[in-house]
Amino acid sequence: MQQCVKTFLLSSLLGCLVLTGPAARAEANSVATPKQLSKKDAVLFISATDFVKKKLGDLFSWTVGYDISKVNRGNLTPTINYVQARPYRVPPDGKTVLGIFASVDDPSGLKNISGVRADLSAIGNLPDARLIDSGLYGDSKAEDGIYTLQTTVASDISLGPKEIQVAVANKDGWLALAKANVDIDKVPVISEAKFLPEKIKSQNNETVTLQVKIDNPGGPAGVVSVTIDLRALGFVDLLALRNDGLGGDLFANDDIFSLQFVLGDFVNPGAYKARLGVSNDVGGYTYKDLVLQVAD
Amino acid sequence: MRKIFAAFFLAAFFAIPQVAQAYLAELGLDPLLVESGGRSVAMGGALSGLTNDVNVAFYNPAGLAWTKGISLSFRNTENLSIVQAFPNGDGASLGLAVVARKINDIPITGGLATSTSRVVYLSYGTKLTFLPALYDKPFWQRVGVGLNVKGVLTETLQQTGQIDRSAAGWDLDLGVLYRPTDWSTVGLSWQSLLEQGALGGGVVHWDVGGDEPLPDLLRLGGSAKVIGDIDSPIFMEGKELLLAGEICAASKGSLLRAGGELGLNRQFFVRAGLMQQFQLNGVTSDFNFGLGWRAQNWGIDLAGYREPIRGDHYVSLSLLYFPTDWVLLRKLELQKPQFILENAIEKISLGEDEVVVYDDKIEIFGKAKPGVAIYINDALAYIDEAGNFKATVPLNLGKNLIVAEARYKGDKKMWKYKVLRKAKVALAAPRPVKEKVEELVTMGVIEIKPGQDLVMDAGITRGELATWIVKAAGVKLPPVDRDVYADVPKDHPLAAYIKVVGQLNLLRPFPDGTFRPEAIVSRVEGEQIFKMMEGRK
Repeated sequence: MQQCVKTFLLSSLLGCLVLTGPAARAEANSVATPKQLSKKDAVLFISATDFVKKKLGDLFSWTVGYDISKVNRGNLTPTINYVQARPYRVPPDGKTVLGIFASVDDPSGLKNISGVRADLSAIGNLPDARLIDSGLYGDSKAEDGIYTLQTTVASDISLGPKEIQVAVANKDGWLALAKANVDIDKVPVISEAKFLPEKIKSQNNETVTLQVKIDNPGGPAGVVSVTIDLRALGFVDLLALRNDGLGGDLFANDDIFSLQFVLGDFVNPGAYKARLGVSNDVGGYTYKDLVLQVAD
Repeated sequence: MRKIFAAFFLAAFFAIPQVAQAYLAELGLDPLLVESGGRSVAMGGALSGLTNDVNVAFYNPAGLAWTKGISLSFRNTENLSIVQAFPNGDGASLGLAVVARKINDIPITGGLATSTSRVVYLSYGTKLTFLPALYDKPFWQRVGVGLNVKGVLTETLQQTGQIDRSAAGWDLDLGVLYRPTDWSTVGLSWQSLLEQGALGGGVVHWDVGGDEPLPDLLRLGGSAKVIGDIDSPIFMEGKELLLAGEICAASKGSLLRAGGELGLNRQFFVRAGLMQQFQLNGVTSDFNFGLGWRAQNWGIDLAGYREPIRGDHYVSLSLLYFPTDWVLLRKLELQKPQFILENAIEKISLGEDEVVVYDDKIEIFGKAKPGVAIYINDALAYIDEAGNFKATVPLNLGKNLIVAEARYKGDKKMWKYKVLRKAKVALAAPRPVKEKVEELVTMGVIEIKPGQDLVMDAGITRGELATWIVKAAGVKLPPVDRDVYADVPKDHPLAAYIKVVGQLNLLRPFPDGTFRPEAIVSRVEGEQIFKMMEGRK
């Protein structure tokens, strides 16, 4: 075994001697001997060649080589991942809070963002309102790249879809633009209304639940009343639906309003029309005629 | 009441004159068919799809939305036209033109005829972005519409053995033009579109009694600047090739027209075109040629062409004036953006458009008017409330082209800057050597990594020299699919370079079959290598 190791070491040493041979292995940045070619010599030799002289001529020529491929189209501008306006439907009341959220980024990092601004002139506010990423004033988390602005829609703004342009600038002087859409509206929309159960048996003293989903501009907090006219079923007054999480309503302050009632014994089988009405705090009103099926 | 009004309007619009004459038609004349402008006729009259010529008013008034200036064209004192387009500064131009034409000695049965006419054009061409709903719509920023109200003030016909006759009348042209790209345009115009006698137009009224209808003409044309500035399909600095074509349809037949314009340095132009024109009996086809010259505010165009009625050849001369303060869009009249050259090492005397720098970035700044967007290398620059912009552009080693554009309502103004970024090398070496190293680094022959010292007195290794030689010679690197030498496997970072110098016999392997990339090159070997390279050139 020892003999084997000795033979291996000897052969390795001999191998190294053969390999290094006439040209010595380079020591990093060691000065070349007179018999060696230095980097300076190589530079001078190469610079003196015809093809390098020609290339140099081309390099310093202002008339050749400046083509489209020489336009640096590197990613310079900040990027906007998304821009959102929440809620999408807002009343022009000057008080409902409209949030503008812009998720932005920059090739040089978020610290290179110099500002995010929104043109709110379409909703009657400043044309260069600043969005912030400080974790304050409605911004949920500081320096997460999601810039936020809370605003309102002025009362003199006409109804209809509006565009809010958001601009992001970086410290290198580049700009990115994106738009958020917002619908200025007063009228609530009844997006879904159903009786549970769908078919009610007469003379059964059955409890009926009415669930109504409402898309109100600015959110459910602006809904003043949701009523249903069940006078055809013997109720004397309009019945108000509730959104307090009680009396058959599952969750308080969501967009689903509910009502529970018991059908009287005197109600005969048939189809009964009931008008559902919704009004809000900006004077918007809508209705929908529902049909309650009462079976034998 | 509405029915009565509609009936009255229709009656006026489609009124038929009592007596129809054909004095002009018998001679093949149409006083409202104007071929004017040295550039237009040199390009075969294929102008209905062009925008940058004031004479476009005679072919498609929609082109006026992109045009300005005055053109005086004449072949002699009796045949001349003057046309002007004055822009309103917001994508529209008002045009006015006067045409005088005299054609002598037209052969007729039993003698000769002479036609003398005076025609006036009142034109308006505009983009539709003046409509608030279309103001910021990119499509509509590229669409122009135009209208010509044109009147035959007098058309006098003298014929052997007959009394002189004279006539007057008027008609309308409508045009539309669309620029799908910055380098291409399509246009459609309907000339002399009024029905015979409608609103008192569409005809000339002869003093001897009777009306003669003015023939209508439909032109469909297009143009493409296939070679030109950086926004053309083929970018060739200082050279332009514009191609244009047109099909004309009329009751007496159709015409095909095509032309081209080769421009050099936006100053000298050579033009040629195929021009078909109506004659009394059929259509004539001719090849036209022309030359043009442009200064900052002035221009001259020359063209040879044939007048179709007599078939005589003429030379048309046009003098052009397009003052810079007659702006198409005043918003775009901003000062050329400038550079911040903190570390400029040289300013070339050719102008500020060409600079040499060491920095890996450069700032370009300027001031824009409200509403104008500034793009630099196709990226949008931020403009502050005062209209100032200052954007940092990264530079590659060597040549860089920076394109700055001011855009406003679909129009743009462009500036190009040539920037040569030289490598800055921290080197303890004599200045001539340092300069040569900088040049080689700029060319990409020598690569110095950040933090790496280039010790000039150190020996150069065989691997380094192989790399420098191959990069300096610009040899394309071959694929390496097997080990090059015993000590240079195929995945060695210098394998391709070593393969090239081996194939060229510049650096030979050692007898044991190794290359030894880390071995220092001997002076003798180096001198031999460069001698061999000189020998091969």
